[in-house]
Amino acid sequence: MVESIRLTFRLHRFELLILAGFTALVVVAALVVAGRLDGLGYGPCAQVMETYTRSCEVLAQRFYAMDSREATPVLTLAAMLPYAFGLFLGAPIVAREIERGTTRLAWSIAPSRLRWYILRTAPIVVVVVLLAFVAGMAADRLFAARSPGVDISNAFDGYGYRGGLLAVQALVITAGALGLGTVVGRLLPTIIIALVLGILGIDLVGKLHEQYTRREAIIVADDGEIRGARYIDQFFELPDGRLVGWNELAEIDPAAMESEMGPQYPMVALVVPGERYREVEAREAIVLTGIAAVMLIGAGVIVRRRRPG
Amino acid sequence: MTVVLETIGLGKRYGLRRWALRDLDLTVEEGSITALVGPNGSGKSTLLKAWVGFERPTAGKLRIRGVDPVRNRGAAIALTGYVPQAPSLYRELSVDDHIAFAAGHRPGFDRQLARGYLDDLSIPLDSRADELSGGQQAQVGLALALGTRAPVLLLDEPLASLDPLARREFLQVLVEAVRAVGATALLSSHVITDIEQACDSLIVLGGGRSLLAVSIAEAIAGHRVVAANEPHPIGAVVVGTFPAATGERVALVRGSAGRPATLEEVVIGHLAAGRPERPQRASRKAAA
Repeated sequence: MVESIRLTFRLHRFELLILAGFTALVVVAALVVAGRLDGLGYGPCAQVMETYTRSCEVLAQRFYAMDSREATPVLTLAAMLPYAFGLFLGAPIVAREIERGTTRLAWSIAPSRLRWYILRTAPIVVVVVLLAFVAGMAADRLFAARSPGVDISNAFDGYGYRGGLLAVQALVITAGALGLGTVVGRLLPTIIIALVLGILGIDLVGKLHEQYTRREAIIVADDGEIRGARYIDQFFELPDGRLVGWNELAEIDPAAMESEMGPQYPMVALVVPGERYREVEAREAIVLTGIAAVMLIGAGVIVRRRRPG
Repeated sequence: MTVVLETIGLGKRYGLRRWALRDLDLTVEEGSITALVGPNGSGKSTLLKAWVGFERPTAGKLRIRGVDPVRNRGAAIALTGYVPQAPSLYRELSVDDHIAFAAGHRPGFDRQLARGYLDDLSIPLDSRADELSGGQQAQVGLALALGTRAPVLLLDEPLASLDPLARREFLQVLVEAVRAVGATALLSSHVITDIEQACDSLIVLGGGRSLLAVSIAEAIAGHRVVAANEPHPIGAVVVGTFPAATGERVALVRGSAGRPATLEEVVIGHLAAGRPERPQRASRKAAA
């Protein structure tokens, strides 16, 4: 079995080296940028608005300039990693074998295609999850640095772009691309279709989950200091206690909308408190892992039944 | 003799209309090296793939040593060493990696046997598959099939892309290996001159049906060639007519008159008939 795993890695050596290098680059860059953001010393200013001084303003300018110049590109690269793993490691596992005809050799030698499939798939999936998890942890660290004073483990800052969710996204895109490859049997079409479906699928799951979490959201005063919470929506609170949006308010009180200062009703926000981050993250991770498991099992069933090409 | 490979009324249809195999009844006896010949599209590859479970029959049954590959593909694969039409090697892996791959997936795979064949042919084990010539890749495919120590070898046109010397070497290894272990081999090929020396039985497929299934010796001894435009000898049964290499039209006949037929002429004559054996008896009038 060890030999078969070694050969699996050897078959994907090029992609593994490139993607491991890319991940290492993202991780190192994230840690370096996080260190540089921390090193600016903006943290105390960000936490206590009352002591906001001129020097804090200077620090803030430098902090946000560095954030947009250095942190944002690194986090963008980190967000691309799950797709890179899925498309360049997941898609080729079976699709490239079918395309090149090596399945004819492999499936005529292996009495159990399922065993072949597991030995071909499991090592890659494990590596993908590990690499994406490390990248997710580095992204965690960077988000912590760009949100000074916020306990990142209890905050929705960068939700879906850091931590374990990055690893689970990589898993589900890898599983999807792998499954698609078993059906399509050609690498390039698999990569293109998987990219489109991956983006749409992750977005769809995120939106569905947001609808679900909306039911758990609470109303808080929107004083501009809601930190760490997942912002769902914003309302005006009328004197009778009703919560209305902009359009509704325009119908109820058109004059308020025309005021130069804007509507003077107190604003409230619908948010999921940051303390629920772990729970919400775990729930989305479980759903995505379930989807990935279904796709991996489905791919196994197709491998057992399909022609070798 | 024990029947190792068998089809009963086998049919395979692609799409709604195109039958690759139809009503095919065949047997291959244990210990034989049988040539499976026929034109492109005659169903050779489909038949071999069906025995390793790569194709599901549309009709009929097939067995490999009594095992139905449709119902129990794993058991059928375990009985089979298969050499696909193209070598199908992993270009990223070395020859030795392929042997390790086979050993990792096939219980009982004989690494030493496979390495021994390749050593004898001076094929470097540390070479990547994409560095090998076509002939060497075919030899690696054969060594992997032989290393399985399977009692049945199915070879799907392994000679197609090889030069004459590589074909000879391939067949030599095949014949020696099969004879050494008493295995059964079914070899599809277009190259009739080569299979004549290597094989002892012949199956001619045409239009997805069996046109002829006899020993090579019987095939040659039982057929004669006569000029097609001359009266056929009395009692000669015309199998088919076709243009000879010289350009004249000749007829393959069953009987004792005429010049001896080569194996190639036997095959071409039966393919020219284009249908399962339904020979026409030459009329006495024509003979007169």
